[in-house]
Amino acid sequence: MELKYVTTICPYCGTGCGLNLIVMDGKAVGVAPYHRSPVGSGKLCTRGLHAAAALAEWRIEEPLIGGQPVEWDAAIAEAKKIANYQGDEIAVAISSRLTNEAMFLVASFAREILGAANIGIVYGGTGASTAKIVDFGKADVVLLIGDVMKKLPITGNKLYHVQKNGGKLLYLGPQSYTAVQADVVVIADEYTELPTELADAIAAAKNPVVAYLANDAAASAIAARLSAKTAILYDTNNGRAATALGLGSFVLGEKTKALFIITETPEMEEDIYATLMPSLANLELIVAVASNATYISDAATVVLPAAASNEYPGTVTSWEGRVQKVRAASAAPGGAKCPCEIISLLADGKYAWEDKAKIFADLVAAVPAYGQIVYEEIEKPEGAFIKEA
Amino acid sequence: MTSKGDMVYAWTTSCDIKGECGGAVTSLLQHALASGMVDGVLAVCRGADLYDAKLKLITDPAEMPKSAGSLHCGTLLSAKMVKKYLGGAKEMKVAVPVKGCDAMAFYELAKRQQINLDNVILIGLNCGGTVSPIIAREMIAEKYGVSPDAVFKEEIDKGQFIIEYTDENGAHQHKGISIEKLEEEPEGYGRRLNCQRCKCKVPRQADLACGNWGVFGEKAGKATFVEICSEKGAALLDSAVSVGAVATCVPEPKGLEIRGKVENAMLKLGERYRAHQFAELGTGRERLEKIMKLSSRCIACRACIENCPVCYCVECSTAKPHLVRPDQVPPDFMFHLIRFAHIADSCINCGQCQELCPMDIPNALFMHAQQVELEKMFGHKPGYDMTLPVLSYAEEGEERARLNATGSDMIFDNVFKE
Ligand SMILES: Cc1cc2nc3c(=O)[nH]c(=O)nc-3n(C[C@H](O)[C@H](O)[C@H](O)COP(=O)(O)OP(=O)(O)OC[C@H]3O[C@@H](n4cnc5c(N)ncnc54)[C@H](O)[C@@H]3O)c2cc1C
Ligand code: SF4
Ligand code: SF4
Ligand code: SF4
Ligand code: SF4
Repeated sequence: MELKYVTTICPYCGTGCGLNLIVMDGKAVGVAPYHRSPVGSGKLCTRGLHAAAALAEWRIEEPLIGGQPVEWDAAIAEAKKIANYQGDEIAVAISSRLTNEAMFLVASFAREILGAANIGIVYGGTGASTAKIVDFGKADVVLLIGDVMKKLPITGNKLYHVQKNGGKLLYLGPQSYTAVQADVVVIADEYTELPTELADAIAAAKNPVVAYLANDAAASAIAARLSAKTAILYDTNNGRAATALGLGSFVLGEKTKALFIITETPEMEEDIYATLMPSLANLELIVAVASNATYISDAATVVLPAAASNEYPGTVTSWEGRVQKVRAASAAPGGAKCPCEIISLLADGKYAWEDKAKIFADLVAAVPAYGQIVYEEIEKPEGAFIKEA
Repeated sequence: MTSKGDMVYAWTTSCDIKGECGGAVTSLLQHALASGMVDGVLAVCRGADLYDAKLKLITDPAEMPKSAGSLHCGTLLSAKMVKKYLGGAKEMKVAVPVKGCDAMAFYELAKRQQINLDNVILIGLNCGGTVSPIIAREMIAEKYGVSPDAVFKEEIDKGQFIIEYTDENGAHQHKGISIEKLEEEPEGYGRRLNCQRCKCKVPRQADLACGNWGVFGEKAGKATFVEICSEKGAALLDSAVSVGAVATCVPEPKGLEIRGKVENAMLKLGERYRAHQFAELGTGRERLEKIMKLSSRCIACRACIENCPVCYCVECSTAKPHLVRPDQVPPDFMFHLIRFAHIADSCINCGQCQELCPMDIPNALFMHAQQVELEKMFGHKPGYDMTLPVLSYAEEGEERARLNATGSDMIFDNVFKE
């Protein structure tokens, strides 16, 4: 019998809490706190506590064509047919939960091999924070727009430190959990302007920070007019990397005939694909690289089963720009493969997939924000930070 | 031959074992494994650095030396791991190094029939307290002016938190600051708050209680002080001595005296911290209001329940829609009342429901404050022996089994509902 801890990162929100997966005889069976995490000191919210379940539910274990199990060779051949379409007929939807390395490979494949005109991220956001989690401790006023404390609970935890240090939390948004916790509250279901009382408080503050969700365009517009540091909170664990890679939110264009989609969907998060559903029927070809069964994989022409978070190694980027290691805790079930390997197969081996350090080096060369990072630094519990120009 | 109540200085005879003191604990665990007394050791091993403690099941005696040394930032709640992942040691025999709170957790789960203590050897470690890793690092940077990554050893000794580190010139240095001073200052540095309140310094409910307190004279720093607390402990020590894995000698009388004094001083300190922290909670209505206000931050994530070494119900009452309305955030105050009613009498003050609460609710303080009062009223002292709490069913194990046979182990469903 073997029982050990494998330290990795929560696959859910962009806070990037570290956790220990409890691995028994090669299987992730539970989660234990990782008190050493510089992000959450071992604290986890409900989702992090159940990170092991993300690896277990509704897994796809074999390649499928039209819902029928096939060999990998056949599935890859079928999937490659997507290259027969014109660039402007192909849409590529990337998951915001892939590792930095896998996301970079998929984006490279989409740009270089498919020449796809439409490449985007599902459930991502935009913006690069100028604040880090530690800045909450130094802030005298923090403006929260929307229910940020509930969406990113451990980031929310750090906001209590503002109050503990004598600072004030301001809130603008609908009635919510965050509204209950804040000191000055303006309830508004929609917002375009910052109410005067909040604007005045920000103007009078020495070290103000404004925190909002990366997919909240209205909040972003308000924040742009303030002179305050920004904490732009991504709801998914690698949405931040998607922004650094220049990937915007995915929208299925009118011309699209073929869709290449990565569905890396941990338990409890299925409905992030809901808006795509009605348009799928109009497509000629759907290639899904999927770890778990979703509506999308059900509708796909070809399904290529993929390893889920924490079944293949790599790195992820939190909303603060902290790059941390994710480690393979258990092997992917059945015939599922690392997403990097799948891309490599589709690209006839153009991309090396096994050596993740090598992929990261290519990412560093291509994306200036990652340029400062020394790969070995990421191994440390503190990780390493990206620097947006 | 030793027997319960005896005390010895003990040390390993293996040069592979670099123990914290005499390496006796590692040697005893290795011997338990090699001799077939146990199938595995649930040991605490160093992870990324000395601030990172991880549990690992070791089944190969040759791997045992890797777990030598004390990790003062680690609090691992090994009892719950044995219950959850090792089948409650019902089918396998394990040895586990335990601090006071870990040992107490074993008893609370054992009396609820979740762990079979007959199959567990508990090697107790005296415990002056633990420091949460991120706080330790911040404290070392801020108060010691030393990079936390330069530290290669830390310990609590003679009332000081002492670090040994390598300075810019590559020379070894050490620096100590009074623990009480660190803990008095507003930043909240020092030991975990529950450790400040802890009064289980020498875990005599384990089979052996091991530590450095009382190792005096020639053997200072080279031996482990071992108090034999059960016949099982005596058998393990005798067996390890008979094969030459561990050597022992009679302790210095002066050492015994010092050990007694230090333990007493620590207990008094714990009492002082309790008085202080409980007083801050107020009394009567004021206390209730404080608890209600702080609990209103709750996001019902259930981290406090998942991590509590005393909680074990298959169907937690807090998840019952007729008691706590589902999907309400913050949840009804009933959520917290249920936890108080179910486990406050058995809280062993491990602190994890507070340390791991995403919303920083001082749950452990609330629980421990109640436990202390309940103990005064009903005399149940959790974590020291197999006595059941007065407030639980006298035959809790049987009662649960009877309820479980109905398809649900919920007392409410089976007893009160028609
Ligand atoms: C947090 C902590 C505080 C302590 N405080 C005191 C004290 O104030 N006074 C005193 O006399 N002794 C204290 N001790 C005990 C002392 O440090 C030695 O562990 C003990 O003397 C045994 O020495 P050894 O050389 O035989 O142990 P070793 O052979 O070095 O074996 C140490 C064993 O401890 C286990 N261990 C390490 N860290 C932890 C942890 N965090 N939780 C549970 N198990 C762990 C390891 O798995 C290993 O099996 C403390 C120990 C710990 C872990
Ligand atoms: S706050 Fe986010 S990263 Fe942390 S445990 Fe919750 S979902 Fe995971
Ligand atoms: S609660 Fe007591 S036994 Fe447990 S770690 Fe703290 S001081 Fe040690
Ligand atoms: S850990 Fe904290 S927030 Fe989570 S359920 Fe418990 S008290 Fe509530
Ligand atoms: S109630 Fe809290 S402090 Fe008490 S035993 Fe449970 S987790 Fe530990």
